[in-house]
Amino acid sequence: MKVPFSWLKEYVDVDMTAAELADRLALTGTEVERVAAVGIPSGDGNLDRFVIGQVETVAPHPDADKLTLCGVDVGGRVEKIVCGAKNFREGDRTAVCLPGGVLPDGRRLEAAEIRGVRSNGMMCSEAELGISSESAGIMILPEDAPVGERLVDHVAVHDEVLELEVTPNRPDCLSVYGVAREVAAVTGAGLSPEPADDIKPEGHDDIGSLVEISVADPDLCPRYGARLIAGVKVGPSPAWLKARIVAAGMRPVNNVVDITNYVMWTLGEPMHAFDLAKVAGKKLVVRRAREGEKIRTIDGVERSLTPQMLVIADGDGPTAIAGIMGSEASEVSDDTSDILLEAANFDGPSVMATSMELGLRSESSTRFEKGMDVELVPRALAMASRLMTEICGGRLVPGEIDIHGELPPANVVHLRSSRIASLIGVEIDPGETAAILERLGFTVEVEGEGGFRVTVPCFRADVEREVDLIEEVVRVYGLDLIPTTLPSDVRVMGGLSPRQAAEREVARALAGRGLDEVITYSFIAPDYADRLRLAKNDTRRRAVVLDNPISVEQSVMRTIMLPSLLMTVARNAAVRNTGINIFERGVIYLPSEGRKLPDERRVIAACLTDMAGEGWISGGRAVDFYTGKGLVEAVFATVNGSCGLSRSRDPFLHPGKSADIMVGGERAGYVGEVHPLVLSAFDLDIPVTAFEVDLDAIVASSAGTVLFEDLMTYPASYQDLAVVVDDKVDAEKVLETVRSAGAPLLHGAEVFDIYSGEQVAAGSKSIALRLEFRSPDHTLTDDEVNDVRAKIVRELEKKLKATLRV
Amino acid sequence: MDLKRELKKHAGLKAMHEEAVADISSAGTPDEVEDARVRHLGRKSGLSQLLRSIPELPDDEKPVVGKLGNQVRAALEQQLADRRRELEEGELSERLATEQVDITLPGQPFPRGHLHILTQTIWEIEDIFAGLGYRIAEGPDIETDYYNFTALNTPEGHPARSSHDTFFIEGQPDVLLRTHTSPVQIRVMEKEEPPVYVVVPGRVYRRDSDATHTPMFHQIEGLAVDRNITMGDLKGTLEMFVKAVFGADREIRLRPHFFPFTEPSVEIDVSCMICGGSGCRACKFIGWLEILGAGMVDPKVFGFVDYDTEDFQGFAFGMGVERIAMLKHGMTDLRMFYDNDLRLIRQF
Repeated sequence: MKVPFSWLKEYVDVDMTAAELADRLALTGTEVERVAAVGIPSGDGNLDRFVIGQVETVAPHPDADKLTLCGVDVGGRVEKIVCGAKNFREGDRTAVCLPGGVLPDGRRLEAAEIRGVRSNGMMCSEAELGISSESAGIMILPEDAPVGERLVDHVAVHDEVLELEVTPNRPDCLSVYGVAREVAAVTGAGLSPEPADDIKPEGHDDIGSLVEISVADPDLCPRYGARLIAGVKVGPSPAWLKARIVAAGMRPVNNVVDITNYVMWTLGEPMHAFDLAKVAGKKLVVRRAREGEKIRTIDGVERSLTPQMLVIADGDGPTAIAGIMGSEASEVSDDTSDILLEAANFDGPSVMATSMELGLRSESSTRFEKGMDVELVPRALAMASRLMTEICGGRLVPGEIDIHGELPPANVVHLRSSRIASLIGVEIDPGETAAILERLGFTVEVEGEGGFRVTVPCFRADVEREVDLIEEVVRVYGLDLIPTTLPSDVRVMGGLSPRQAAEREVARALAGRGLDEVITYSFIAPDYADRLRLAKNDTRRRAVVLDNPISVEQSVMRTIMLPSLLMTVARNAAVRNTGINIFERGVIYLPSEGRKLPDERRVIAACLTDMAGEGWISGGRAVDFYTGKGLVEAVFATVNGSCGLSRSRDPFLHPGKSADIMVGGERAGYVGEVHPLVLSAFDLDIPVTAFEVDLDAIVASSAGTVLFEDLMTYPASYQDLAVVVDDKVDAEKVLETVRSAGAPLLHGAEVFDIYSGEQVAAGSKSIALRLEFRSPDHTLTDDEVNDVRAKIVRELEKKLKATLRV
Repeated sequence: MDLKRELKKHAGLKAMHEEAVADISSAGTPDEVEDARVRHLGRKSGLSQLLRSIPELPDDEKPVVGKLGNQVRAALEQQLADRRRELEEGELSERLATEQVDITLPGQPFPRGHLHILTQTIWEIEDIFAGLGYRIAEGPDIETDYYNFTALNTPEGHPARSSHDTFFIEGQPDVLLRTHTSPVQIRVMEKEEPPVYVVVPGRVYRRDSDATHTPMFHQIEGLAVDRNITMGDLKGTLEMFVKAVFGADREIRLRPHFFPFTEPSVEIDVSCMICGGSGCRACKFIGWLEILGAGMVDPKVFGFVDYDTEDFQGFAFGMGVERIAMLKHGMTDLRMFYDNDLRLIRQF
C-alpha cells in the first residue's frame, strides 16, 4: 500500500518526518518497506525553483517558426521564456521551472540561448514534472492558481511515499484514511474527520425510475449501493488529482475513473463507474454467472465465466466481474455523460476464488478478498458524488440505491486489566488502556474494577476476543516497555532423547572418520527407481508423489537415500573436488497401506569414493566393500551395538561385494560397492561404496548399560592358528566353528590374515586366527589351553575339511 | 673427603685407588670402562686379592683394611657406573643429532570430516534451549492439512493453503508437505498436558524457488506452555537465545506482526552483527535484522488441543535456520546450502 506523505498529512496532523513516522509504524505493527521520494528532487532548495507562472505575452520567435517567445510572470517579475508548445494562450497559468531547477529525470535546466534568444526558464509539461505521461503541451493550471507561489504547495510534484506492508488482518489500512487513523493512534496526533461529506442531489428525477438494480445472490453480495451522476464531462483530471494517482502507483485514465480510484485509495472501498448509456435494458442484476457466459474485461481479454463467479449483469449478460474488473462494454469513455456509480461489498473468499481462477488480480480484488467494511459503501458514494460534481460537472440525481440485508451488529468484547498483566507481564494503567483503544476507533466503557466493555468498530472485524484487544493495547503501549523475564517455575527436564543423542553420536563418528555431511532435498526425480535397476515389484518403487511439484526433478518423495547421494558425488566430482566421502541423515518416505500418512524412517546413508587421503604420507586405502563394512561397524559401535550381515540381492549393488545389514533378524539397511551400471546411470566414472542404515535399528541394537567384566585378575593366553579351507568357505563359518568348539575357555577369535597363492593349494585359502583363552576364576595352564586348541583343530577338520597350516 | 683421609692409613690401598680412578677417568668407550672394571675390581685385581687376604693379616690391621677396602670398592663401582652412563649418553646425543627432521612438513593427516553448517547451527540452537529446560520434539514431514493449518487457526481459503504456495500429495488433497514446523506443536500438546517446553527442528517445504527461496528449508520452532508464562518470558527467553548465538553485545527488539496461531504476534529483530546497529548494507541501513517470528499462543490453538485457556498460557516462536546461519557466517546465497559443494561444507 503506497501512502503519499502529503496525502496522509491531509487527515492526520503528524509532526514527524516520513522517515521518523516509518520507524514508529514499524514498531507498532505496520511494516514500512521503504520511503520513496517521487517527483521533483527536494534537495538543495530545488522545490523553490518550480513556481506557478502566468503567461503575459506570446510572440513568435524571431528565428524559428515552431517556437514562441513568451513573457511569463513568475511572481513579481516577468521572465522571457522560449517555448515549443502551442496549447496555451495569454493569461494561462502554468508550471515554470526556473534556471538551476532539477527535473524528476535528473536533468538540470539552465538559462540558455535558443536560436539566438535567451530563455530564462521552462514551462513544463505534466510528463516533465513526473505527474503523467502527457507531454504534448505544457501543464495548464486553474485560473485561481496563485502566481509566484511554489508549485509543490499546490500540486504534489514532490512527495515521499510510504510503502506499507499491510498484514492480512488489517484491510482497514489499505486506505490512506485508515493509515491516518493508525498513525493518529500510535503517535497521538490529531485526526481529521473522514472526508466523506455528502452533497445534495439536484433535479426532480429519481435514480429508481432510470435504472433497475437487484441482487439475486445476496450470499456473495451483502451490500450493493449505487448513485447516478448525470451530465458529466469526461476529460483529463486536474493536476493535483493526477499527481496523487501517480504517487499512489496508479495510472491516470480520465477524471471519472481517477475519482473512483481516488476514493478507493482514500477510504479503502473499491468503486466502479458504468456508462449508463451502455447498460443494456437499464437494469443490473448481481448474480452468479451462468455456464458458458463470457466477458471482455477492460484490459481487452475475453474471459470465460463459471457459475461460482459473481457478476454484475445487464440486459445483455455480464458487464462486470464483481469486485474484480469491469467490461469494455460498459466502460466510461470520452463521450459518456451519465455515470452509474457502484460501491458494494462482495464476499471475500468468493472474490479471491474468482480472481485466482481467472488469474486476474486488481486493486479492487486485493481489497475485497481480505473482507471490506460494509459501512464504507454509503461513505464512498458520498465522497465520489462530491468529487464527480466538483470535477466532472454533472449533477447527483436524487435517490439512492442501497440493497442489503441485516447488517452485522457491532461486536462487544470485555477486557480485564488483570488479564493484560498476566499475559504480557506488565501492568498498564487502565486509563492509558482506554485511551489507546479510543484512539484506535474503539468505544470504551468502564465495567467494574479495571474492566472494560469495548465496542469494536466495523472496520476492525479482526478484533473478536479479549486477547485481540490486549494485542492492540500492547502494540501501541510499546513492546519495548515489556520487561525481559524467564519462565520462573520450569518443572521439566530438557535435553535430547536417547535416539536424538545417538543420532548425533553417529554423525560425529562419521565426521570424525573423515566423512563430510551433506543435506539434500527430500524429493527427487521419479526415474531414480530405473536408474537403481529396482525390480518391477520392489516396494521402493512405490513412492509418495507430489501433486504440484515445481519440476519433475523434485516430484516424488524418496524411498531410498542413495540417488541423492550419488548425484551429490557426481556434482562434486564434476568440479574436481577430491576425497569425496559423504553422508546424510535424512528421512525416507514409505507409503503405508491403509494409513493417511506414510511411514517416515530416519536413516543414515553414505557414499565413499576415496579414503586414501592426500599429502606426502601415504597409508590410507582406496575404498572397497570392507571400507563400508568397517564404517557400518563403527556406526553401530557408537551406541555399543552391533549388526549382522547377510548377502544382499539389492540390484544397485555389486552382487558379490554387498550385504544386507541385519539387526534382530530384520533387514536394517545395506552396504556394498555400487553396481557399475548404476554408477554409469548417475554419470559416475569412479567406484563408489555405499551404505544406508535405519537409525532406529542402530539404537535398538545397543547392548544398553555396560556391566563390568574382570579381565585383569587372571591374565589371558593367546595362540595363533592358521588353517587352510576351501575358497568358498566364509570366514564367519570358520569363526563360528572355532567359537563353538572353544567354549567356554575361548574368549575371543579374530581373523588377522588371509592368504591364497603358491603356498596353499589352488581353490583354497589360508585363514590366520588369533585366539584368546581365559577363565574368570584362574590362570589357565598350558595343558588346559592346548586341550581346547586341539579340540578346535579337530572340529575344523571334521566340519570344514580344514587342514592345519604349518 | 673422608675416604682420602682414611687412605693415608694404608699406602697400598691408596695407590690402588689412585691408579683405578685415573684409569676409569681415561676410559673413552663403554668397552674401556668394562676393561677398567675387570682390571681394578675383577677377581684378579689387587683390591680383590687384598680383601681375600684379610684373614691372614694381623688382628689390628684386619678391621682397618676390611672397612677401607670395601669403601674403595664402593667408590670405584660408583665411578664406573657414572662414567659408563656419561659415555652412553654422549653416544646417544651424537646419534640423535644426526636424526633431525623437517618440522615444517605437514603432520600425518588424520581424517577430519565436517558436519553440514545447518546441522551445526541446529545443534547449537537445540543445545541452548536444552540448557533452558526444553526437550527436542520431532514430527513428520508429510502432514495433514489439519495439523499444518486448521489446528493452527489458519482458515480454509487462506492463501497459504493454496496449491500455489504448498506442496500437496497426489490423490490425497488433505495431505501435504508441512510448510512449517508448527504442526508439531499440536502433536505435542495433543499427547501431553502442560508444562510443555519443546523445540522442534526440521525440514519444511514451500513452493518457491529463486535466489532467496529454496523449496525445502529448515525451521526451528519453540513452544512453552505453563501456568504463568508471559510475553515478558518470551522476550527474555529470546534475548538469551540471541545473545548465545550472536554474541553478548546483541540486543533484540519486538515489532507487532500477524500470525494466525499467536496473539499477540511479534517479529523479532536482532541488532545488526555486522555494523553493530549503526546501519550497513546487510541490515539495509536500519541497524536491525529480522530473525524470528513469535507470539503468545492463540487461545483458538489451545481450543484444538483442549487446554484450558484460563489456566494455561504460553508462547511460541519460529525461525529459519538458514537465515540464522547466513547471518552468523556472512553467507549471501541460500541455495549454496543445498548445492553440497564440499568446498563450502569443508569451511565449517
